[in-house]
This record gives sequence, C-alpha cells and structure tokens, in this order.
Amino acid sequence: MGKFSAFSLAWNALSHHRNWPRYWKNPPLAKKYDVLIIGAGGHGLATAHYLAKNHGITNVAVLEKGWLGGGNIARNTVTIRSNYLRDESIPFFVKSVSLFEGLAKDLNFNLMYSKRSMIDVVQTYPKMREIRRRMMNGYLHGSSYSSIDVAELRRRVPALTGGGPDTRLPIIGAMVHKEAAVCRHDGVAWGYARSASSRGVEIHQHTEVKSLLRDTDGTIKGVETNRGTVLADKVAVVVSGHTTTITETAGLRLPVKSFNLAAFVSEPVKPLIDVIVNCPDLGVYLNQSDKGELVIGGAPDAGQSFRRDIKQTVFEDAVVTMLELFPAFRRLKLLRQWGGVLDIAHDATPIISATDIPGLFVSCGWWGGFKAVPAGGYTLAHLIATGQPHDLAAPFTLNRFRHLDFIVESGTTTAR
Amino acid sequence: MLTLPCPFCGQRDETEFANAGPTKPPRPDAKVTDSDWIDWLTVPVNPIGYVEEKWWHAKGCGKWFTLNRHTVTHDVTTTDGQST
Repeated sequence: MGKFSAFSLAWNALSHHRNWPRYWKNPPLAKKYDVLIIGAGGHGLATAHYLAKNHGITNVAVLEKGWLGGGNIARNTVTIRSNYLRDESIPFFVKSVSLFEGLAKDLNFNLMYSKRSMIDVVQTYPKMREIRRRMMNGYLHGSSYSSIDVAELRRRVPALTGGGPDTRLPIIGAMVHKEAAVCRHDGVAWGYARSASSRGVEIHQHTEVKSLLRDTDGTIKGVETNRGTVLADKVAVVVSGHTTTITETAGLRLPVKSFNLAAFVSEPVKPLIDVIVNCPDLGVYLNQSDKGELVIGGAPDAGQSFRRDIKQTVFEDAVVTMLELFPAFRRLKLLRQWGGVLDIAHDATPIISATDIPGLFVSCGWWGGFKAVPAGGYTLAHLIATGQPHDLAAPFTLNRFRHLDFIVESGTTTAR
Repeated sequence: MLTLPCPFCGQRDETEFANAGPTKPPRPDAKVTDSDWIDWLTVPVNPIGYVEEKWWHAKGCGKWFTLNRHTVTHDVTTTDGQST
C-alpha cells in the first residue's frame, strides 16, 4: 500500500496516474476469522481500523451486503459536532470531533476536513432555554457553544434574510458551535478501509449476512452468508437501521426502531454560506459543499420505515420552512434527493454494547452517526478486544435499559 | 401522498395525523419477571413488513385508532385485514 504524498503524486504523474495501487485488497473469503464485523460503513470500517491499529487484532473480516461505503456513510449531511446535552454524551462526542481533526493524517488520506462552525437559528423561547442549558453543560466538558444576537447572525449568514419581526416565527437569537466541521464522507469510509486493509483486515463486499449462528451453549459461532458459512468467536453487528433484522435471526430483540431520514441538494452556486446552519424550530438544516451545492436536510418520516427515498410531504415541509428563512433560495433548482434507514432508541442515545449472546456485539441507535464514526469505532474496537466497555462508551451499554437509566438526548438530534 | 383511514373522517392526508409508534402487547400482570417487564417496557417491534401502529388524527377530529402499515411499501390495511 503506497503512501500518499507530494512525492508519490509527482512519481505517479510520470506514468499518467495509471499505476496507483488499489485502496484495499480482495482476498478470498476464509472459513474462520477471530472477529467478524457486519457492515462496511463508517462505524464498521473504523472499528476494523482501530482493532488493527490499537489492539493488534488483524485476523478480521468486514462483511458488506452491498458495496463498501454505500449505506448511510454515503447518505448523511456530513456534519461533525459535539453540542449534546448530557454529561455521559458530551465527552464521547468531543473525543469524536478531536479524532476527526487528526484523521486525515492518521489515515494518510485527504478527507477535505473543513472546520466551519454550526449556527443554530433560534425562533422560540423553549428552544432558547433548551439550547442555553446545552451551552452551560458544554462548558463543563469542553464543547463550546456561545450565544450571538440577531444582528451578528445576519452578518455571518447574509443569505438569511427571512425571519424578521413581522414573520410567523421571528428569529430571537442564535448559538454558535465553533468545533463543528464538515468533511468528505466517502473519504472517511475509503480512508478507514485502506488503512484497515493495509494492516491485514479483509473486506468482503457483496457478502450478505443472512443469519447469525449460535453454538449449542448459546455463544456466537459465526454467520451464514450468501457465500457460505463464516465462523468467528466474536461478531459485531454495525449495520445501522437493519440491526434488529440481523440480531433477530439469533433471537435477540433490541430497544431500537428504524426510521427514514432524507436529504437533498441544490444546483451548485457560488460560495454563499460558510457555516452549517441549523434551524431546530423549523426542523431544517443546511450547509454548502465544496462543489457549491447546498446540502439540505429535513425532519424524519413519522412512522417506522425501511425506505431509502424521501417522502413528498417531508420534502415539501423542508423546502417550505427553509424558504421562510432563506427566501432567495426560491429560485434554486434541486438536483438530487435520497434517504437512509436509521435506528434510534427512545432516549436517542447510541448503543455500543455486548449482548445477552456471548461474543455478539452491537453498535446501533446512532441516528445521525456520521459525527461519531471515529469515536464509535474506537470504543467498539476496545470493547471487542478487551471485553470491557471503553470509559467513554460505558454509559451506552444495553444495561441502561435493564436499569431504566436512560440518557435522554431527544431534542438534541433531528429526532423530536 | 399517503392517506390514512380515520374511522370518523374517512381517508385523510397523512399530514393531519400524528404517529404514536407500534402497539404493545397487553400489559403484563404483577407476577412478571424483571427481564420480561423490561422487555415489554423498552423493546418495540421493528419489522420489515407490516407493523401494527397507533395514529392520532391530531389536526382533524382527534380520534385515536390502530392500523397495519408496511414499513417498505407504506401499504395500509385495517387491523382486521381490510385494504383501505
């Protein structure tokens, strides 16, 4: 695996860039591994990377039903942030944000990481109170969140011309989260895959896990795939919205429900917005990509769903509410729309946990899990390697449901 | 546009309704074990297929009702299997 550098770029230019090495190898599928990771998305590949890098466990296979990085890692709105509410959550996401900051160097892969602040546009007093509470908790844990007035907001986001005093929901203030960033989401999957593969991890695409296999003593034995049986003593299910679909094949039910969350992009325009704008009272958020497209997300579809498209009503709601604040966007053409299947527990906090089935681990309930990819992989790898939850993720086990000790984050995500 | 069958108003636009999640099995009695109780309390059904769920005609007549909806096709049938 060659190292990417200015020198390798110049060297490969001599052969017209025809001889770049492949990012990851395609070895044949073996009968047995030490660890199986189901799902080659952000969290699965990050877990494989940290298993190899931090714990020296390299006899690992990542099994993927479709193609690498084709699920929610390709379907998110790339926002990296840590403005959560609870003492248990904030340090975890602060860690994730800091891992993202050094990730391009760690993976030797250009992730086009761009730190650019997120601004919450506040239009109701209950939201203002909620967000100020988060600001104070953020101070305790090193996640910055600071209040700005409406004039400063309009100076920083000139395109925001709506929400004046005569409108339905006048803007009453705003909150800036300085650590927020965006980066190339596909690059995160490719970078982790390349790094894991170079350390000996195998990635098998188009290998669909049909069911989990249990030994006679109840422990996990391996998985049944469309390419035959693969054995392993440890199996991690990292498949976002389809987690329950997989675990129920071994009789394990989990406290999560799956929903559809969708996004869409406009035609590319000149640089217009250099921050991530989140409008929690309207349920719409947007940022501008490097190509100039506005990436716009809305609220989730109301009922449980396993669809990967956007519902017309959700789409219309997001557009109509966005135009209240950004009336000039009326003339933008919208180019593409897509959706993803996300799972969420009713306290909206993720689950990184061993399960009642010895050897079976789950990482689920992420809702928008992109921001958590490095820390999620880091802590899941620790759990798989040592059998003990990492300190940062210790509150996120399934035990919190057993003890009804919930970490209620509803309201700090788009799930409300 | 998805429409839902309100028992009082008939077929109405889905935007008038609030989803209240999947229905639960009957509440266990006091002799239930801890693990079964936690299971009943926290674990919802999450099928790829029909889910029996509650809806509230919040922006209409206020009626609560139950129906079966497919989580992939959004096909809706009433709980006694009638197509709507």
